[in-house]
Amino acid sequence: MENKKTISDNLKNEAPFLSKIEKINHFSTPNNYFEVLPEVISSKNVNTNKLQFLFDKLSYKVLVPISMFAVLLFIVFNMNSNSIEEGLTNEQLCELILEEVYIEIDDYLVYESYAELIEEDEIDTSTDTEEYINYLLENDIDINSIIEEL
Amino acid sequence: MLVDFFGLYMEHYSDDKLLSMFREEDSRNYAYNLIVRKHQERLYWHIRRMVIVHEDADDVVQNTLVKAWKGLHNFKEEAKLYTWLYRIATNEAITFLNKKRKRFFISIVDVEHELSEHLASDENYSGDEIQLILQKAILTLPEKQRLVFNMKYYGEMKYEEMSTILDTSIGALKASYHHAVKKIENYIKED
Repeated sequence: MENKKTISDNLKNEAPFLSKIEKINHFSTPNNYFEVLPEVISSKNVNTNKLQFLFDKLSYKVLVPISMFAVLLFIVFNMNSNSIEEGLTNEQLCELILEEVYIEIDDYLVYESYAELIEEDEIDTSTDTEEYINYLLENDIDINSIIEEL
Repeated sequence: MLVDFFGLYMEHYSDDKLLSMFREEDSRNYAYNLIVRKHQERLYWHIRRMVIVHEDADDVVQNTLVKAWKGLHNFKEEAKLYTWLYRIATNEAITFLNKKRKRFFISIVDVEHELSEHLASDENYSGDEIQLILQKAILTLPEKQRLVFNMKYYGEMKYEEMSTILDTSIGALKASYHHAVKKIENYIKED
């Protein structure tokens, strides 16, 4: 009460225009708003509790195993990607396979390295054939005569 | 009848009693319902004066009371319950206004201008011309000054309580209120 009177007195001195304005709350709410609000809050709190409960249950029964599995996958993936396979050239890989020293190699890597080596061989062969043909043409040698001599 | 029933209990139960009831599993929901009924109106008007629009105030007051429900388990009785609730309500109201600014890419001044325009056509506002001028004058104040002015002028709060709620020194609050009153007085004089 004393606080109210002090505020009012101070206001008269400080702001005479403001102090003349009646201090009434002109804002209003829809009908029965404050009677309904506690029920709205209760239902929201119950829903929040259900969600919290669900999350707790989920976190123990589903989320924990899933996250542990994800961590395991991550560790395994990291170990594989850091293995020695990455540091080897195709030739070294083939040598290792032939010597049967390194047998735990991914199938795909093996096929890939063989395929590359075979391609290289094919390229070499085609180059040799071209050279022979050029030699025969330059020296005007009939290929049929060579076959007959043989 | 329901209001009378709860009103009767609200008068009998102090905040301390309601808090001890809240700690008991069996009476938790009932106690919180009584806490809401006891404090909802003061909290609502505190928020409404900040956000102006009823629908916005309704959202903010609901968020406030749901957050209070979640945090009440950890409430330490060093502070008064209603001071703590006011603090949550104030933070929620300020957060709401900031979000509103960001959502519509508008400046602080424009939000207050928009709220000021809204007042004239609001069916939940029935003030006459001079009351409208006063509300518009309040809306020209910076956010913190507006908060302080509303709490002191309408809420008739003590500076000590305001200091706890707003985490500001009493001296700073007095200065802030003084500046707010001067600005409002000038606005009314000029209008």
